[in-house]
Amino acid sequence: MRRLVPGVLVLAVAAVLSVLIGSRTLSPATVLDALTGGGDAEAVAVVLEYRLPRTVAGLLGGAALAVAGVVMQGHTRNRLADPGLLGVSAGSAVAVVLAITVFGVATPAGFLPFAFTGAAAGCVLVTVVGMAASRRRDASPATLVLAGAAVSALLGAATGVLLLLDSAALSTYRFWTVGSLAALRGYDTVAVAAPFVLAGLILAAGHARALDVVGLGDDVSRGLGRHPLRTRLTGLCTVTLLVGGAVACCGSLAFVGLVVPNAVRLVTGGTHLPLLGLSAVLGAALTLFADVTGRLLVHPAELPVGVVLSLIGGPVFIALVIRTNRRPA
Amino acid sequence: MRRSVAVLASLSLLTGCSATNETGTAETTAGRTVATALGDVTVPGAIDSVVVLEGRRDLDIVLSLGLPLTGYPYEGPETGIALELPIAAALTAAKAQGARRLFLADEINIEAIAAATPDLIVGRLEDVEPIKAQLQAIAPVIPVGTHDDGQTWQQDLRLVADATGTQTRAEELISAFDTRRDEIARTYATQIAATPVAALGYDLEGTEVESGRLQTVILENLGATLSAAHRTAGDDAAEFSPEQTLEAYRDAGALLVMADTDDEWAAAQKDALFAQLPAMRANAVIRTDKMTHEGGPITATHVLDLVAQLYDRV
Repeated sequence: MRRLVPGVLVLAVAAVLSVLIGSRTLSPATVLDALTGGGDAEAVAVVLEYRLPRTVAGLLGGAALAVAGVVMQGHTRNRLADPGLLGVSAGSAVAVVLAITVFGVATPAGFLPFAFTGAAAGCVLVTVVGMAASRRRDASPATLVLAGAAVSALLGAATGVLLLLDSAALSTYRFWTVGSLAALRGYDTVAVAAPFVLAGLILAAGHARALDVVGLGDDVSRGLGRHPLRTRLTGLCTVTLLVGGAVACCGSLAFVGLVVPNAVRLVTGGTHLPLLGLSAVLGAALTLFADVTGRLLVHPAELPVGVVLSLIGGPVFIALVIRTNRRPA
Repeated sequence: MRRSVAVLASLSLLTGCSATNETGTAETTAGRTVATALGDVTVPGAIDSVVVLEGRRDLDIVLSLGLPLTGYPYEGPETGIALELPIAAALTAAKAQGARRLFLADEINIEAIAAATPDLIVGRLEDVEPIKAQLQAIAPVIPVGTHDDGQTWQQDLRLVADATGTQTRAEELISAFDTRRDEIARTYATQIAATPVAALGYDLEGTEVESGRLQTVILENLGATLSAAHRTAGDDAAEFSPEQTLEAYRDAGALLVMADTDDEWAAAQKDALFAQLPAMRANAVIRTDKMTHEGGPITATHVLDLVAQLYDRV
């Protein structure tokens, strides 16, 4: 809790900046008026219909991806794991491309059911392949990672073929795959995605103790009364809910699920409940800061939040890897 | 007139001599030679099969001139284009005569073009240039321009007409367009003078105006007062983020809005800032799409009709 308070303050600053800053310059007083239902109609529309939904979406998406990263890293016992490792992102991507090429879907709200279905299908496929490839009834983390890599490669190839055949689809898809909050209007998308993200966050919090035990290995886990297969399926379900909800809100954002858990682990250590809590808060804050930065860098135009996250995330992740490797074993 | 041209062409063939007509087209036994952006191109005297590459200006010109279209590109479902094409009726007639889809728009398929064994290929210069040698190995290629390079559809119509001996038809089409334009300019003179207009593209990432697009060019042809957003664009294009919508088009009393998909059009109507635009409030808005960014006589006349409908609402 003591560590959570500064994190929440950072998140609050990010949220305030996200509401204050945009391509249409509004004074803080005007924004405050708009938030309280006063002011001119243009300011009310900018703040309530654009900036606030965008802030909520960034908050949900960032928190979901960071928590999904923690769950993935816990289950695979690999700190370089991210939500894309188990076929979730690849499944979402291929489903969204099919939605574009076959059904002509072009809006974030339209991508939602496809992103969820694809995420779930990718996850199930990896689980089935992992279990089939394992000699045991429950696939080991290493088998799951290998199955995830194979299935992701396969789905990635399918996505690539579809996009190569159709450059118009590529044009629509690139906004989704880069990750952007600019296309959000109102709360339609957020309202659909939020229940999934909240369910995933609750499931992850309830799963924290199990993640601590999973880290000790399957045999110890079994000895402590845990059922490894059930635990993994719960974890996969959690990741699917979180990633499906996150990509629906803001597209496919890189690095949040990788960088944030590793950075937070330096503060909280390996115990999962505080790690999950602070990752959620700082994942949301990082996404909002990246979005605000994207609005400022090429003002009055915008850089998509996914581009800014990649620019920030790459160097930060390298620094984290170097720092981690230098620490004594 | 067309018959006399044909007779003249036949006479040229019979005598084996060559001649240069008043448009600069050289007619010989080998066909007609025209000067294009790719150099001189000789087109056979008799054309039985034409393939187009881009699907807007080139297709419109070929259909308008009544040339025997055999292959053309098409827009896939992923574009979500919902409005009927301006050239829909002419294309339906061409399909009944054997024209068929060869490849997706922007996905030019050389093998499909070769299989169609055209006598003539007409396509946008920027599409032709990278594959010029392959295309020229199949058939003579007439490149047409775009709104970006300042080449008007009238110039391209005349170029293709010179190459195919359909100059009379081209002049009739241009004259019909001019007559309709003048008629609209007279009928709506008051609205044209008093109402700033914007021809903007809308999608979820924002809005944009572009100087050379067919809608903008036709508004300029009519002497329309363009909104401040067009002045910001100057001779180029200007993009505005969603938050800048009201600021950018506040002065416009009428809007031509290009929204390709029904989803985008629905989003525009639900968009809180877009809904506050004076033109939206006055219902002085007409929807169109990217298929009217560019075109030939059919599309240009279609845009004139849209503009007339727009001024009717002012």
